[in-house]
Amino acid sequence: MDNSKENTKSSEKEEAVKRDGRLKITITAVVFAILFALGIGGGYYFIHKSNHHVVSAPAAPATPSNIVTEKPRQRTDSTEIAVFFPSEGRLKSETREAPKSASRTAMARATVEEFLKGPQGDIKSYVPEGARLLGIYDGADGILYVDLSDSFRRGLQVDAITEFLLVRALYESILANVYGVADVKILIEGAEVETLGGHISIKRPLGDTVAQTIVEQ
Amino acid sequence: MVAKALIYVENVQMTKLLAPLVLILLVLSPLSAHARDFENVVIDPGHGGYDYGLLVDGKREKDIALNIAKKLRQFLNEQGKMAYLTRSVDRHLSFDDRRELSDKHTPEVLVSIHLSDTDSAVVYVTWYKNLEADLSLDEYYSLDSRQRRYLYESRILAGSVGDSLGSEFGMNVLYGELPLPLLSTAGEPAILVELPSKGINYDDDTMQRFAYSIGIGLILYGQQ
Repeated sequence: MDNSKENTKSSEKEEAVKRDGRLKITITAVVFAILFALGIGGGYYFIHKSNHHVVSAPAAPATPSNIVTEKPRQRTDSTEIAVFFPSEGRLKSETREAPKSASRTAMARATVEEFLKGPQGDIKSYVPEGARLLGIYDGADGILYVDLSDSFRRGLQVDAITEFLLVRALYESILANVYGVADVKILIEGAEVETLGGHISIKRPLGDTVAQTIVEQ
Repeated sequence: MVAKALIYVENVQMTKLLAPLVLILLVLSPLSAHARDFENVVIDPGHGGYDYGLLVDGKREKDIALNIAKKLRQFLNEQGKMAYLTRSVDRHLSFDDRRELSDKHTPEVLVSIHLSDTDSAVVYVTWYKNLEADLSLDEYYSLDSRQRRYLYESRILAGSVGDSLGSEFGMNVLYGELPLPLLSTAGEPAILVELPSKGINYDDDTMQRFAYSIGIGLILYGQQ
């Protein structure tokens, strides 16, 4: 009886020792696993943070992703326009790049601003220096009003045929690039004026005045 | 009639002898009265005031035009014509001002003097968009249509003045049509003469020669 009790006690002790041993192993394993996980996570975090800082912070506006998205936007938002200038008794056309827009006034503005830059290359420019576009107004009657600064008139030094061609060049440039324009009227500083260079009348819309085909004999 | 008689003179020498006589007879004969003879001329010096026109070797087109216009007036007065200027001083005139000042003298001929930006003279008559179109009475009698009735005469006038400039200076003379408001509202034969600005020294003698040659062109037009 006593022996059996002692055997039972000793076996219980052995069981207890074994349980303690398994528990320690489990705890150790869990601790190692936690430490391992922390090590991996910390390392990843450190590396990731370091890379992000070096690549993006100093050059954020010029990252490759920005340039890639910018280029196609430029291509789709610009368009080619034809601008006319007087040259040797005729009109010469030049192709320019302008922002694309569905707005008639925006297209007209871009066209007139390119016109006021004058021709490129060796062609003599008759557009007075300092001439500016003050405004474009889209009339309900289809007439597009082009308001120019007074320097466009006062700086103009042209003979009759060149004045005619300059006015016609502006008219043709607008009609070539702006959809649905019935006619064009020039204003100077917001007001109607009689003439730009003392030969041709611009009191009325230009359509009838510039309808002539130039023939010199 | 006298001219017809000339055809039947077979002897060439005789024709040469008779030619001056025939010309005198043509001038004196009442049958040969010149349909284009005129008394009143209006001369319009281009630009003026703040409108300088072209700059030629430091000289302004408005001053050159005024100088030549005054000399032309003097020449025509000496030929027995009544010549008037739209401006005799340096001042700006609108197209309407020029038209009003011109009409006041009921001219039979109008000449506007300008410079071209080339080495050629250019003589313009006005241009109409619908010259051959049927116009309503309102359109036909509008001020802008006034020159329609004189366009043929204006072309002859342009030819006469252009020929005179060409023979006096030996220069290239071009003829053109442009929508020029001063001419289109003129109720008389009307031209705009652009004298060359390149290769010309506009001293007093040169301006006198230009005035003389334009004047001769006008006189010859009146004798046609």
